[in-house]
Amino acid sequence: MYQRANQLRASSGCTTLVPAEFGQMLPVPMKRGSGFAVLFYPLESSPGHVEALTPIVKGLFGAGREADSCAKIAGVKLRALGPPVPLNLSNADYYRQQERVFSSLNLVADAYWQGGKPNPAEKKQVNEFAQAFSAVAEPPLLPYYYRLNPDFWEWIEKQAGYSIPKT
Amino acid sequence: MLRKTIFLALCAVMAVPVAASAQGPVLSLPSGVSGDSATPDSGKLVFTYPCAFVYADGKPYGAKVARHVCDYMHASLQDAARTFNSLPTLAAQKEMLKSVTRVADADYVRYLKGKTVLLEETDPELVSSRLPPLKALLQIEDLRRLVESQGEQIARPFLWPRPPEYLQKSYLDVSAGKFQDSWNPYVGVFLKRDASLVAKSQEFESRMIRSTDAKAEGRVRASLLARAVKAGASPKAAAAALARLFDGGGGSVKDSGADPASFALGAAAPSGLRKWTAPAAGRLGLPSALPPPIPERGAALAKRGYFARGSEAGLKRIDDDAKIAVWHALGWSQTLGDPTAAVPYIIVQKGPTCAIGAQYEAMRVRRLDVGIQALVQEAVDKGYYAEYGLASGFRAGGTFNDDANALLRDHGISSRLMLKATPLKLEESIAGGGGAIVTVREREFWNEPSLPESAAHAVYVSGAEINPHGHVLGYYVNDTGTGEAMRFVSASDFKKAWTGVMVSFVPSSSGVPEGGAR
Repeated sequence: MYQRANQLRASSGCTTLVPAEFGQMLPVPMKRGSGFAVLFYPLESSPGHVEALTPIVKGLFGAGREADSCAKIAGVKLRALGPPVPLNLSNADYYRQQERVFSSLNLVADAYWQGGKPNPAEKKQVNEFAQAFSAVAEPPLLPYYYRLNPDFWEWIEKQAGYSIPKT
Repeated sequence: MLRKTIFLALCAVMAVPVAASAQGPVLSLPSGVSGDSATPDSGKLVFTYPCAFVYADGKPYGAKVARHVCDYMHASLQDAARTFNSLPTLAAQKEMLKSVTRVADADYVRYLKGKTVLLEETDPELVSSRLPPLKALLQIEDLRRLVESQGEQIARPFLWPRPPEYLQKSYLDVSAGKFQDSWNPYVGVFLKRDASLVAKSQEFESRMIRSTDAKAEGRVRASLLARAVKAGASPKAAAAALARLFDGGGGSVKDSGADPASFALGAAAPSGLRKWTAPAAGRLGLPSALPPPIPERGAALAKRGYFARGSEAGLKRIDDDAKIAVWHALGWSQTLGDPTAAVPYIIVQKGPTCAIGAQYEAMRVRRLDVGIQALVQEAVDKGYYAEYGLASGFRAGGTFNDDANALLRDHGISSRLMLKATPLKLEESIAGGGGAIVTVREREFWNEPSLPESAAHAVYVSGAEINPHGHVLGYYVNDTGTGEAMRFVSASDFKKAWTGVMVSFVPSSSGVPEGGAR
């Protein structure tokens, strides 16, 4: 999943819209059959200080036969939103939590798309995902994660008791 | 900058002077405003920056207003000029000036006291010359951070708001980065202090380099001695041969019967790697491939930017270079490409222009006479590079992957953009094309935990280090993000950071990297 998400930048629709310097949010499952979405955001950095800016490109991948794609988000007003990495997260923890997000994401997405109540194994994965996501996701971008697919995050809250800010 | 709002209160009651009690003590300091008996009662004053008070009819105001009062008004009071100029009477204006002077004087005293304390706390002489270099450098880093953070804070009441272009570290703003003259009276002293701390750190950096050189020399001596003994030479004869080789017949190798370990530890003369590795290797019949010398001082050292990412990263770089010099001297590796050729062209980028910086270096190495400022403008004009201005004055953006080699193409340099390249392709580009441009994950590459893992950065790869079996041990990189030239990155570290995106260079028919012709 990690490689799949990273390949998006190299797909034909994205190479002309996403500078290498942009940050890329973690993938969010969309509605069934629609694959995963990510947002790309510019970074403002000066020595010792980095801020995530408002995401300006949306990318989609893993939607069956549909090719990966990127599109500019219309009407964005760029704002500095805050540090893209949670404070006090060690390097080792950062990579470990990111690995946990990616390794659980496929199963979590499948469970979400199936609907209904997850079985215990799925439930464990959902909890794993929620914990890891909350540890590593860009804090100021959480509302953007929510807006990508509110239904998914409501489902996560129902299953794992984890909620993210909506605004 | 946080600006005080006492003027808003003043505006609300127009012409009522600021209550002195609310503004701090009345001081007997050289007052900002003195009496002005010759002033005509009619006509109001007009206040303009920098610090001019004249009557509306153009006549000069006789009273002297101290510079710090004027700067205080501009820096710390909202709409000072507009408010002052709109006061209804001259008397109200004078009263306001008097009130402001009291506050400014009080803050100025605080500034002077704070300055004295800060300068005492950051005296370079506090760093003992007897400290180990790394410890000393870390201490100096702390002092520099203190000067930077505290200095501006102490001077803040008098620092005019930064104009937007001051923060816009962009090639698109030609005035970017120029220091405001108005700040100099207050922070100039801290800048000087910072410069003296930098000078102090250079002393320890040189010591660190010399000591690393000496250790490396010891390693080579020990290794060569062991080789000679293994080959049948008596330790005494081998040591004498080494002494001739390194010291011209005597020098620091005094105990010719010493074992190899004592040579390794033995305070070999700190002659500097460059003095001995290549000739020594030549005389021993070892491969004499270009060793990467560690420049001891001057522009050559500065260009390398050893300490650009801090003392610990700098020490690692020096150790790496010393280690490579040992490898060279002992025939354990040689350099692919000519990384030293790219060193003079290292720059520190402004804004997110790494891909343009890397192409600039590739062009300069290939003898194209281009300027970074013009290249950035060209990239903007042609849509290869997007830069977004923010309300804060900072800039964000970058170069699209598809256009990672567009400027090279436009300037007649043959290259190929690969989005999923392999180490073998990179090696081929270095060997045949003289280098490559790659994108790496900044977080991993700089060991910078404040960055997200997904953000990437373009750097110019100017060479590689290979062992006798042809395996790549690491790469040499010019990084415009930090200003480091010829940084050695081990193959495993490089692999972890590399995204797979690469611009490879195509060798010309003559076998040398091409360039020059459009």
